[in-house]
Amino acid sequence: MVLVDCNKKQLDKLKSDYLPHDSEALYFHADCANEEEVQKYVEKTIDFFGGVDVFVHCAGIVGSIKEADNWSAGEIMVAFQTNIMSVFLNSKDVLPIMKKQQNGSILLLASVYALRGVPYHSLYAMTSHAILGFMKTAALERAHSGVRINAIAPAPTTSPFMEEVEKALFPSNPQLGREQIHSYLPFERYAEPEEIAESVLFVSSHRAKYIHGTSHIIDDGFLAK
Amino acid sequence: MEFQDKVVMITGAAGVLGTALSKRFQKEGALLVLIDKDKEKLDQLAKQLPNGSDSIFIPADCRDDEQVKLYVDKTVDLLGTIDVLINCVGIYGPITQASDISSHYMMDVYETNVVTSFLNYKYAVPVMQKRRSGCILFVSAVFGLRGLPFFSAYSTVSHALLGFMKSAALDCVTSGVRVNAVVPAPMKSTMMEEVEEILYPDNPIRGREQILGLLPMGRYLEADEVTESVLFLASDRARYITGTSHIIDGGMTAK
Repeated sequence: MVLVDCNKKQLDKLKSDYLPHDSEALYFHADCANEEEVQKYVEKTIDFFGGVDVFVHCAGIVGSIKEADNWSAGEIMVAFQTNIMSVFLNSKDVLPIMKKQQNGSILLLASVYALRGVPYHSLYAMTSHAILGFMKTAALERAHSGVRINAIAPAPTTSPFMEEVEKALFPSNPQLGREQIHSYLPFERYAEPEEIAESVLFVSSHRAKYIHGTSHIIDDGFLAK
Repeated sequence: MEFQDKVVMITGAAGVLGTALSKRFQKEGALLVLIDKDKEKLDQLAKQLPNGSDSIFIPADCRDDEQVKLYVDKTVDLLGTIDVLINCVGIYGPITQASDISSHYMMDVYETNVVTSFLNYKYAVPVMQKRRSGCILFVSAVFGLRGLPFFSAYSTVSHALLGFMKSAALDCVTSGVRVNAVVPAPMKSTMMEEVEEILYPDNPIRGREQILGLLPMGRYLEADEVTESVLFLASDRARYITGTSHIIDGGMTAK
């Protein structure tokens, strides 16, 4: 495993609290929206492991929660940089390696907001949609190369991310925010990170070798409504 | 073995996909209930399955309300429940311009692809809901998400199946039953060989080239590649996945 995060504290915690001490892993504290830093950790990965078989891109922010006409250009640029530029920069460096290997699987974490709109989430919906546009196009360019590119589109997931959204919706009573979001979800609960992980594992495996250019939805019926 | 002693019912079991699914689920320890209207082919399938004697084979027409009810009841009598239902019955129907299709043929495709899925769902879902657990899978096609010249009948019913699947999934959300569809690209099968021939009766290889030209990976999907997705969706690993269309198309719908 090669584990990259811009949050040093969380990365250290992952190393010390969650993963077995003997796991063979590289940890990079880096900004994956920074071109030079991306190049550096991809190069180091190649030096150390010799290739990249699976690339899973989870970096992203929801941004603030407000009406579409209330964003500033600066906020739009920050979201673009974090959610889209990072996808592009990592793919740019990882794709040629996988192409040379004639093997590899890229998974981009988008969200159900990539397939529908939700009031007050225009920025997140916009960048999520953009990820699918990039994924589909890159998939068509690589259809014969042995490299597969797909996206995962989960419903809101139990995470600090969603806690922020709950707070943003009802600053004085985040519990109300949670209830409001749950009411959108047919099962009335968030997805769990472990449930996303199973899908990521499946789609990145050889068992999914004809699955390419698709969005794998994990939403408990959210989009069926 | 992920499906040890789980009761898995497969309709259209003697077809290319049904056969691949039967073998794969048996490998995972499932108790199989295999339905097909072609008794001869069903007998052949029985010989192909390593542990054929552990499975129940029922020749029946899934378009017939009474027959469906009968084999669902029989399954519950014998095995107690149904954990997974996979609907594989389907035909391409007439391959011609939309305006040339007779209403008789349109009805036939509708009955074979949609009514069969509906009837199986109708009788299996109460069994699953009683135990608050179960998984139903429909096999639609990429033509349920896009159109294709000369395939209007097939495209119509493939879309219809997805509409049914989504609504049924929402009906079931509080009852512990998950409902999803797999959406495969054209699969290597006798069905596709027929299509190649219909497209170019004098030169089916041209028909094949034309269809492969639509597929970014430049080859047909293999039945084994669909079974892995079906297995995943039917398993507990996919417990938050319901009401979705699981696309297996090598990039076809990305175009």
